[in-house]
Amino acid sequence: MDKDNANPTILNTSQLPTRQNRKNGSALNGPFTNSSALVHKLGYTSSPPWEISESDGTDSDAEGDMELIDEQDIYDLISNISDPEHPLSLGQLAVVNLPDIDITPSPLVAADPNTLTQVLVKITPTITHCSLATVIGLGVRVRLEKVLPPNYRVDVMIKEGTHSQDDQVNKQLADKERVAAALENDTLRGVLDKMLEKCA
Amino acid sequence: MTDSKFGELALQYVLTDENEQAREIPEKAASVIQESANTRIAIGQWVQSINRWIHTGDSNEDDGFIERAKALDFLASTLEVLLRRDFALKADQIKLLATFFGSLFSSDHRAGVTASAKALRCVTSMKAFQPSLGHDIIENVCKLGDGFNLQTPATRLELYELFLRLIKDPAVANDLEYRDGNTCGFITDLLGLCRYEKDPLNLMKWFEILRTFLQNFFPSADVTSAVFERFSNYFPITLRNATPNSGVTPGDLKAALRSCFAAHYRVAGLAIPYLMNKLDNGDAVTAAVKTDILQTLNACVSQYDHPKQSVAPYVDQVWTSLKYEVRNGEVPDTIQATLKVLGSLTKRLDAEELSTFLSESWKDLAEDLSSPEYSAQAGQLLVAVSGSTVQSFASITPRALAHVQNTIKHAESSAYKQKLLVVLNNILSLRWHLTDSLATSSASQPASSSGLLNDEIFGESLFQTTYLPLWQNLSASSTSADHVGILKETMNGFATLVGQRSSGHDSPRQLCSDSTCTQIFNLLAKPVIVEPIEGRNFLDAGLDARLHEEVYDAAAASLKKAVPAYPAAFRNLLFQFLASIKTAYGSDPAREDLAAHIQLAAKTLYEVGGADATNLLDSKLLLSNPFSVVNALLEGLLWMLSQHAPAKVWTAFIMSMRYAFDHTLPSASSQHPGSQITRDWYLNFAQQIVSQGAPQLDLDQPGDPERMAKAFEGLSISELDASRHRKAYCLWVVKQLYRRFTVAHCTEDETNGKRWVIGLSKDFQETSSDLVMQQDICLHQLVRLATSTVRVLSADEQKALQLDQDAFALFNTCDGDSTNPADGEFTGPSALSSADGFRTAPLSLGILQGLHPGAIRPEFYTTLDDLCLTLTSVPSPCSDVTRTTLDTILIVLSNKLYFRGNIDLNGKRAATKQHLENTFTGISTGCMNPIEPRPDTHTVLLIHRSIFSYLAGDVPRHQHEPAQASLLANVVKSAPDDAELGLQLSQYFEILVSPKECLAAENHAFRSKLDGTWLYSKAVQPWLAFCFSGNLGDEIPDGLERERRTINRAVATFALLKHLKYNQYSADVAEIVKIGLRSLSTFNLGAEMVSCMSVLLAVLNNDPGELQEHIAGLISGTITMYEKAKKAAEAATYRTLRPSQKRDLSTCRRNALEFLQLMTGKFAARYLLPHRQQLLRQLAWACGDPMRSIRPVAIAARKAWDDLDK
Repeated sequence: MDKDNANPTILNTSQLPTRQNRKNGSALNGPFTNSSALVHKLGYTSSPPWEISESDGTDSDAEGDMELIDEQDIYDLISNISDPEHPLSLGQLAVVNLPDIDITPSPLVAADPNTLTQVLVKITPTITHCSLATVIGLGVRVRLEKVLPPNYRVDVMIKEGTHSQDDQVNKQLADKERVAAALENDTLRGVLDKMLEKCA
Repeated sequence: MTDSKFGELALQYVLTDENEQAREIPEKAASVIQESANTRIAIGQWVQSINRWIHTGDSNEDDGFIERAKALDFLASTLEVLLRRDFALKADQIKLLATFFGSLFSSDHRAGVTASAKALRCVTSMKAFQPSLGHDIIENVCKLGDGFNLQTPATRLELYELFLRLIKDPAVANDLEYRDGNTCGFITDLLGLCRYEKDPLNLMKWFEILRTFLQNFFPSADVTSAVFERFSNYFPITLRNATPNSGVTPGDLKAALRSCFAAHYRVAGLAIPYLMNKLDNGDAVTAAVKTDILQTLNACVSQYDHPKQSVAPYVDQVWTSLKYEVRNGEVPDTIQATLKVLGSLTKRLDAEELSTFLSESWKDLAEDLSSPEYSAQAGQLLVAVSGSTVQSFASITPRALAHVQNTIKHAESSAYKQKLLVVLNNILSLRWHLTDSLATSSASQPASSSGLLNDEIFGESLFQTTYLPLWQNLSASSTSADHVGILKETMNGFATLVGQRSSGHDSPRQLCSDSTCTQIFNLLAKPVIVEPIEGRNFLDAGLDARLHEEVYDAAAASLKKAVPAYPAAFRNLLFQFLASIKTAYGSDPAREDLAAHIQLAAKTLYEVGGADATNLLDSKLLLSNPFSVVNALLEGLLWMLSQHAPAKVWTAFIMSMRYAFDHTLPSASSQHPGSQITRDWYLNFAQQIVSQGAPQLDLDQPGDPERMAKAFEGLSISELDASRHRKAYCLWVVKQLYRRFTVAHCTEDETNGKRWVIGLSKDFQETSSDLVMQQDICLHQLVRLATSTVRVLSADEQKALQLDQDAFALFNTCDGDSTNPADGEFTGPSALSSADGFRTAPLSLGILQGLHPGAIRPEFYTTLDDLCLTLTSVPSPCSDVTRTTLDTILIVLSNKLYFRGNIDLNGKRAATKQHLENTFTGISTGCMNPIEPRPDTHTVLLIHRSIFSYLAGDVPRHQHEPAQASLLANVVKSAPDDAELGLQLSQYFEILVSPKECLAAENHAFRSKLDGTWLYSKAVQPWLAFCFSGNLGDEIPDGLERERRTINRAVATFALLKHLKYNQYSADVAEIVKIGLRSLSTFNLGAEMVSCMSVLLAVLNNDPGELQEHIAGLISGTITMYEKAKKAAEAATYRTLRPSQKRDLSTCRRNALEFLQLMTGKFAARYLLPHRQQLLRQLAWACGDPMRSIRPVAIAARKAWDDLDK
């Protein structure tokens, strides 16, 4: 079968957005900053009951506070979905992009992890007449529904102006019954399984 | 008689099917021949013995050919035996046999060929074989004609070996040459015979035959051409995958065929044009074929004799064709192969040809170097051509260098500039390499190579006219991302410039002047040392962090390359390092990142100094550079102390020293008895380095490190001795630091009289809590430095140096190298110093931790006693941080202070344990006399912890005597039942077995192989039953109390099991699983639950069958526990938890999810499916776990259960 886009633009994996890139931490390993951390790091005693003077909350590797699912998490979950026609991931093809993921309410303000949360992913087909946009959208949707907790609602749309028939594709992707019916189609199921094969 | 004997043997041979017998019969026949009185008759009879099978002809109706073949094989095999036994047949007999077997090739294709080939191979190997028979044999074999191809590959191989033997035999070859002259008729026959050969193994032989022929014979042009045509038809050769495994690889075949092309210069006129033609066929060849062609061409060009006739005529053609392979090539392998050909080609030309070739090629190169698009490729070609010989380098580089320098000056794009710089750097590297090879070969040709490498243009002027302006331009303008590449190449160029030496002189001299070299090092030091330490960005701050890192790495790499070429610069770098630190601290003493930058620069300097001794070309620097780095660090530390800098800056220096020590000290296992340090040797060494100017921190003297470095530079010592010097030097440094940070006071009281105690020095006067914490951190770093130094010393060395005493005197003793003012009257204490609230205890630990048990003298046993008394006293004598250190010392001492067979000390040890036992019982029952009132809970816990610490060191020795084991027995029995602190004490059981650095093997701790099993039998197995309330005695009527005790017992059990090996408790695993299952609902979500889950995971991994009947309970217990832990992590109170509690909560959740995921792989789906639907709902919620790192575990578990029915 001829490919819709035989020569897509490919991003190098090192160029993809990661949590590390967004940190501004220094690469230097400075000495320990407090005695409790020191006692642990030096490993004279490694069993927890030995802890002392631990009134501080500044342990350098303190088991973090609440880390709600954010846009980067969603990106990490879907960026390695394989493209149905290229041996590349949706992240490498820039079909999914970090700025096109939106979580409501924002994890920055949400306090309760169990509130109903809306995740909107806008995908960017590599070309405006991509016939596989629906399949890709379906793949993103299936992946997220499999890995997000039940209080997350997933919406997948085509990014405005990136597809000649975005209205139709969006309608298909939003229609739960059509999505359910599509998932019963063995051929389509096979394609989706292949796409999700490399997802951890 | 013998006649019938041979007949009988031949018959047996023909009829036998057994290999063993088939081997024996020819042996017998050969023996009969050898033993017969008249061998001539015997041989006649032996040959005639197969007559009955020979009479039939070779016809299609002939059905006796199998027997006939076997009969002939009987003769051949007998010949093989005779040959092996070195039995000499007469010349006429050999001739007869050769004729007989030869005739079979024309008369008996089906039966005779294999045996004949074998027989002829034997015949030709015999001493009396006449060379003239060779021709006849070849002629006879060639009569096979097309029948040759019908033979099996093995038979053909036999024939190839026969031919090869014949043409390799000089006498036969002479005869063949004499008969046929340069027409070489026999080869024409062979070419016809073997023209369809395809078997890989046979082709290997066939190619060897052709190569040997070309090398040993003098064929006419026609014959050469025919031979060439025959083997070139196979080019390029490959091996089909379908070919049965013959042991021949495609590489072997390619090499064999290549050797035919390169066999003789006579073939040059055919081979080179042929290969060039193939190469120029453009699209028709793949990259692999192209590489093969180029490698073959390389073999021809480099191996042909008489290059003037064979190679020189094709120089232009080869250059014209190959330059495009590099210019427009894309495949690295092909480009490399092409460059190799051009290099080989250049090597074969004489002076005149070389000059012409270089002039011609330079025209192309100059044009390409002037073009941004092709400059990199032109550079590769230039290096290939100029690098092949000293002459070619000398001839082409003056114009090339001038051209490249000029082009760099006028190049506008930075990418182009960078490419040209790479070319320039490569030329410099090439010259460095050529100078080295000239230096090694100059002994044989001292005069011819004088000044051949254009010394005048590769030194000072190149730096001044090209590299320096480039650097200045880049530094002047704000460096953009585009310029980083140029900067990196400029720095690389600096390093190669430093490496340039004069060529052809007796003693090569540096081409760059000392001042230029110094300038280069100053420039390179900027991005690595000066700017980072002084808090400036070398590049524009707005640039990507990756670029900053790249420039740093490039500068460090250049320094690493340049320092061995100009060792004197290293001390200058260290000087700059110190100067920058002083400047930085002077301008902003409060700078946060200064300490980190000091550490990073010190680490880089250590690497730059080639302190990794194996890389040092100059063994004289084996000691000098590592010592110089540490001396600089000592000097820096001394300066900081004089400035009253905060302790976190001292820590940076001490951590840097630790990095240096870790890489300087030999590993304990690589010790050699011949390099032992003795007390006298060490004292002598210490005096020596002091007199040579080593810095002395305790005397506030920076010394003269430069003088010391020079002294060690001049020292020529073996690697073995170097290791001893390094150990001694590190110990000396540790002593310096200990003495600097401590001071001996004399105290006098009524009970003890006059005694010395060690306190912290005046450097520790600051008392604000933040600074005290920094000081403690610094002391702990010093501990690690001391431990890593002490532990590499052998027990004998530690004894000789009396380090056990120094563990308490902290090197303040009068041992000859001490400079403490108290010397003379001070002999050192033998107990831990209580001064400054025991804050010097870490320093004692630093030494004790690294001692061998045998290196501690019995008189120091009192220390253990004293420490036990101190730690069981109320109130606690020191801060909690210091108490942790004292507990660790208690572990070390209770582990190492043991003297087998010393009744007195064993009695003392039992008394110590008795004291601890009394204390334990006293504080447990609340009647701890004579202390009144009862200590507070925190203190009680601290005392308990110390008792557990003592046991942690003692348990690895598992002593069986009741007196020694009763403390453990009492603690195990009573601790979990303690009414008030039972739960905490049960958790303390983990202290007994958890891995500890102080008990690590490298620290020479005593550890019995069976300690785990022993502990299990004492502290776990007998108490398993008490984890169920039904087994508790009736004396505890209260249900709640019974429950509390069983839970505590289970907590203690899992705290121990967590660190034991599975096989140590596998016998009782059924019972343990039941306890675990119960504990999932009764344990708190903390360390105890973590222990329980890790034991259940171990059971699941090792013996899942034990869990099978509890699947439902395990699933519900685990997921419920997970949900509770998740709720706790989401609760508002989570923020108030201690870090360890947070860590335990997350480990509980992670373990629960891992357990659920692993279950799917351990049990058949039918056992799990009933729980799937319910669990999937719960796992879906787990995917929203509040911790990011746990969510993937939840997703994996969810997927595993989701996939269960697939």
